[in-house]
Amino acid sequence: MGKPFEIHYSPADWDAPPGGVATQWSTPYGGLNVQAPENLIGPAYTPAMNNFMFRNSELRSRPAFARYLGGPGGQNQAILGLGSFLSKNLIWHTIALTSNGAWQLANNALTNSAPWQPIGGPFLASGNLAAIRTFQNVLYYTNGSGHLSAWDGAAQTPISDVAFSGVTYPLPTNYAGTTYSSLFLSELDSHILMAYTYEAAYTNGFPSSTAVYPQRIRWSNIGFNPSLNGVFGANLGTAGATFDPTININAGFADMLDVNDVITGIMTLGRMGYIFRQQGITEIDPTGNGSAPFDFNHLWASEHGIGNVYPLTIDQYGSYGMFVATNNVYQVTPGNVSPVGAGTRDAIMLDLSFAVNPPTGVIVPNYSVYRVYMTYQLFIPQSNGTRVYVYSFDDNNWASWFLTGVSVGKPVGCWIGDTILNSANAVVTR
Amino acid sequence: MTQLVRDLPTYPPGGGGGGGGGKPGGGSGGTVSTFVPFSENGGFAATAFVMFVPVQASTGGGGYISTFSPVSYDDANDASSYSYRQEDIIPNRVPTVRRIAITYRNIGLATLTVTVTAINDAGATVSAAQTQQIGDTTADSTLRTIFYDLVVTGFRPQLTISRAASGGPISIIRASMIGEVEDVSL
Repeated sequence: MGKPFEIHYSPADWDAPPGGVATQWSTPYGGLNVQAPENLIGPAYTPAMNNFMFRNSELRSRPAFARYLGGPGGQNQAILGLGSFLSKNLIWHTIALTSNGAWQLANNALTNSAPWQPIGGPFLASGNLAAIRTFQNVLYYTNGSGHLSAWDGAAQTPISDVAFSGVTYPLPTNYAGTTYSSLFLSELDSHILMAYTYEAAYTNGFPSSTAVYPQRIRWSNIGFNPSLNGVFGANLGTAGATFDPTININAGFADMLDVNDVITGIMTLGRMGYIFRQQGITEIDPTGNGSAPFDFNHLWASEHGIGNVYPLTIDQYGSYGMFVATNNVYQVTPGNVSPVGAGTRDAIMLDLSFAVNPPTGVIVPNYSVYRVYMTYQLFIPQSNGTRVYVYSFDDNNWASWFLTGVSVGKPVGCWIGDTILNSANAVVTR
Repeated sequence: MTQLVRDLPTYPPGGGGGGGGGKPGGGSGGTVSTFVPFSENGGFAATAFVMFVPVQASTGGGGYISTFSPVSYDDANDASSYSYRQEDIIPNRVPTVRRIAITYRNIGLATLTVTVTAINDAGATVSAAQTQQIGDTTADSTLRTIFYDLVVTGFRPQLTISRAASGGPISIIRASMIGEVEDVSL
């Protein structure tokens, strides 16, 4: 018979000295830690975990992941974008975007077997996820397809191009001009911002050329009213809103040709914005000057540096921002960029190297209106499923999940008028 | 006073289980705010926030929208596991684990497996596992304790807890690994 031992694992125990009691209680779980040997990590950490979460100092099996509703237009159309927005009449609309155009969740709820109804808009590029932004209760979207579209929820269909190019879609047969689209879309100081632009020149109604500017930021003028006299789109186009500074000097563009990389996303925090590049971050500040409304400052313009290399991992919730760089996962707060990968960093980077589709990230404030899980979830599609890393803002720890048999796109929190989750059919086998 | 049920699945709020409140804007236990519903061109008032997760089957390519359930911690497709650290009870001395005690919250009927793994003198992995049912369908949120008696002798024993897919919801409060370790001089 040897010397008896008892080892207790709980947040109340792992600060306790040998044979003593803890002086600090409810210390959070440390999460996954692969950057020290399995016997040298602290008792709060785990060297291996799957599909457990850290919830209020408890170790809980993760929420069930199940099919909720079918995709728009049949299952073979990739979903390029999702989002909800509040119209000027204070009604919520939930939309999905596919290469065939825009769809709306009928009655903003799961009511039948074909819940998505097409609402129109131009075809979208099939290979790019859509950028979506709501401004003045109007939803704007684009994905490098050559068109910028907008929808106010009240009109029957989205409008395109007329929003900023002065023409309606489909384009007139004799149209000569330029339409704008981009991979990234945002709003700052009442300007609509496009980044990584696709600019299509038309002659006689056909695109004569499409120029791609991976280093370009283009912004609209301000002060346009998308629904003058109650008619959506009546005051847009060259008379009201434009991206062309030769029409309105308050619009414009900037090419960041002094750095060696390309734009991978935009985030706005407070009164400033951050333009992510592969090897750096550029700050964009409103100037108040009508002819030069923005000032650009590279936080660093080095050839190699901290930037965003997975565009879809950028996400923002209030003053929280997150993105993945080549060397770590970073949290953005106003004026600060901090690495948060900690002991999980190498596991994340290893799984990123196995990604078969673009990784995506989303900040999840809650899974329902009253159950808060303030986390950043990083989805890494792999050949047989999707690895998920979950970062808790409250506890600064990472959990690891795996979703077998599915490749996950960019998740989006949506506001819907549905209590389906309370029904017996809420959770079905995916 | 009704006991506050900690984070148990009730949806929508106020719909049972003494969740301690009503829907936002609707008053305690009340109905949806009178501000809604209105509809507009296919839109409708929103009463729920749900994270839509677009997915595509890894094989076959079918696309649809999934969500993480706010009401269930029992995934039907994926198992769960959590390993604690490997324990040097006394570094480089051989311990024997004889009992695992688990304190858990009853959030439903579940099947929980505990496994203890170690390395013996020959460098081979030795392990023992035991599976028991925990909790019940009342899901009354009480804290309960269950013991697993098993014997594993070897260096650096490591405790792993796991559940199978559809194995039920699990919420662990504390795990204890109990045994003895050799205390002779090397």
